[in-house]
Formats: sequence, structure tokens, C-alpha cells
Amino acid sequence: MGVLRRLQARPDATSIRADGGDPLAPLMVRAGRGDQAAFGDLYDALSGLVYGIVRNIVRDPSQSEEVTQEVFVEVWRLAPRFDETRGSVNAWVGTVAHRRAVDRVRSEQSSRDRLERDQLKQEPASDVVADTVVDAHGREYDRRRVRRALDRLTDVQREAVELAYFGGHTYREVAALLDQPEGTIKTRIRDAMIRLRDELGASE
Amino acid sequence: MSDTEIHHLGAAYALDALDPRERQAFEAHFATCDICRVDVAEFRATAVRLGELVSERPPASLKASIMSEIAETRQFSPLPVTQLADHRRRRAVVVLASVAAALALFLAGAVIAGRGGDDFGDQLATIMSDPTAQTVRLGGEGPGTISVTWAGGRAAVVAAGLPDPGDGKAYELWLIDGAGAHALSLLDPADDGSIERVVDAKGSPAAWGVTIESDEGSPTPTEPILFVAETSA
Repeated sequence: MGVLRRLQARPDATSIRADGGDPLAPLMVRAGRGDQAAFGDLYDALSGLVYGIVRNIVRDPSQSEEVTQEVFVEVWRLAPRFDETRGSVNAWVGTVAHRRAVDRVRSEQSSRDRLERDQLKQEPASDVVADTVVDAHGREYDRRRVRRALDRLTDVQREAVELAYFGGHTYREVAALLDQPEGTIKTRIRDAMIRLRDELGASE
Repeated sequence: MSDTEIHHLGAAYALDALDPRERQAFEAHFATCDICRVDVAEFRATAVRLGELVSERPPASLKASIMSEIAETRQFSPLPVTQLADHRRRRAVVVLASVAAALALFLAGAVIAGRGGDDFGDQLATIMSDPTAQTVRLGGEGPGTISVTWAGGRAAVVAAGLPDPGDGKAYELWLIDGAGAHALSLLDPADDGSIERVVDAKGSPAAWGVTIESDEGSPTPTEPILFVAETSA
């Protein structure tokens, strides 16, 4: 139900995706010329993605806000150099968000602290995923597809990717967490990412 | 780390799951490896799809705070991009700037397309992986192009189409700051007029310049500046 309503309410965010264009690229181009209103629209479209990625890794809400702010300021500074032939706005901004979040936790907490935190939590990262609130930007359909693709991984592949991406752990930390050889984890992560890429299509 | 091993780090890299030393090694590698660059771009696009699963609305107050910060924040300039085709080695070097190699994939002018690594490519990639790295293209009257990419006390110079400076003469690179012009290095173009050099460059350049001097070098520029660029610093 929600899916249909969103499709109707936001044709720009969904139909354009179908023909491969990037609905956010024109806004990024305008932001790159110093257009703050366009940047505000970009913020509206991307703040859920950025804050979600950051919060999932950083956890602490006020630190998550700080990191989210750093991400958007960096995007603003680099916007004049955005080139839509090199990837989507989503992919770029999401990459910046993940990197900044990971840098923050790795500089502030030892990996041991984070390992203990995750061990104490004793819940698979997929619970975090399943409980997530849907945002207002027409991503619901996509998410089902992503969840389905995750479901098709083997359990051990999914676990490794989730600990790395959602947990913000290095593959070495994932290996320690799961008590597996590092080489095994590296391979699982790679195999999982190849399968996800093939299921989801890489170039959106 | 073996060559095959490093090719297989693209997925972990795209998930930011390498430790700092491996991250650095991989960035130096992927800047010169077409296969890995495509892998990383695809894996990153895939990773962001995972990120969409955890999307969460931030507190409403955050937008005002960000909008007021960006109103005070200067943007980078759009890129001066220098492209140099070195037919001898069939490599194309495209230099840009001021962007971590990590992000360069998404930005105009990125990075280095090449077959296999070499010392210069690796050193350039290392400089570019510094988030403070900047590139300028030096403007000048004469034929040829020169660009400089610098960070962390090192500068990579890429030039193409420079005329022979003449017998007993050489190009000299200057770092110009508030205290004046500092001689950095003599630059000797190859037969085809190209230069690929990494030199020490301590200090905060306000501008870069290139002159022709005697081939023993000069402590201060004695000839007119042929190529010059101000930095945005």
C-alpha cells in the first residue's frame, strides 16, 4: 500500500530510477554552482540515508549528528567537482557517510571495545535492518529488493557483510568476532558482494 | 602482499573494511588498476543499497545547523584538469585534485588510468590519497602544459609538450609563499617534452611557478616565470 502511494506521490524519485537516470544529479550540479536552495533539497533527499548509515555505526545520537554534518559539509565543498558520469549522487554521498562514520568510531573507540559491544549485544545485524523505519523518499520498493538479495546469501556470507558494513568493522575484526581465519572472511565478503552486485545491478 | 591478493581487496575496501595500512596500499594500487577501479565503483554502489536499508530521519534541527555552516563554507573550484597522453608507454595520466582517492571515483577528472603500476603512478596515488591534496594547472605563454599535485610535503609534477629548454638550461620549479620563491627542483623533460616527477615540497604554497634557469639551478628565479598558478589556500 505504502509502495503504491509513494509511487504516485513521488513520480520523480521512482520513475526516473527505472530509466537509469539519477534524479539527484541536477540538484548536485546546481549545488555545485553555489545554489544553497538546491543543496537544501539534496539534504532533504539524502539526510535519511546519511544519518541512517552514520547512526548505525556511530550509535551515539549526538555524535551521529556531528558526523552527518561533516558529511554534508564535505559534499557541499566537493559539489563543484561532482561528475554524474562517474556514479550516482546516492552512491557518492553514501560512500562519504560510511567512510566518515567508520573513521569516527575507529578513532574514538578501540576495536576491542567495539568487538565487546557487538558481542554483548548478541543480536545479528539483520535485526537492526529489519526494524528500520522507512523514510519518506520512495525507497521502499528498493529495500525489499535489497532484503531479498541479502536473504539469498548464505548465512555466513550475510553475517560477514553485515558486520563489516553495518557494524563498521574491518575484515580482521570480523574474523576475530566470528573466530574464523582472516582469509576465510575476506573471501566471504568478496563472494557476498559479488552476489549482491549481480542481484542488484551495480550502476544505480 | 601479492598482486592477486591486492586485486581481491576491492570488496572489503568498498565496505571500508581494510585497516589503515591495507587501505593505503590498496588506494595506491587501484589508482593504477582499471579492473579494481571498476570493482570498487560497483561494490560501492552495491554497499550504498545496503545503506538504504537503515535510512533514518535525523532530528529536524540538524538541517538548519548544516545550512548555516555551508553558507559560510567555501566550495572547491571546479577542476582544472590536465591530461597527458604518453604514447611511448601507452599510459594516460589524468591529474586532478584536492580529493581523496577514495572519493575521486565520483568526481570530475579522476584519477589515473594506466596499465600496471610504476613508481611515479604509485607516488602520485599516495599524494592524492591525502585528503588535503590539491592540484593546479599552471598557466603560461609557452607551449606545453604543467600541473602540480601536492600534499604532505610532496609534490607530483606532470608536464607534456614542453620544448627543450636549450643547452645548459633546465626548467626549475618554484614554491612561492609569503616569504618568496623557493627553489624545489630542476625538471628535465623527456625527449617528447613530458615530465613525471615527485619532489619534496615543504611549506604552504600560495603559488607554483616554473622558469628556465641554468642547468645547475638557481637559488632565486632569474628568468621570467613561464608557468604560474596561484593556489586556493
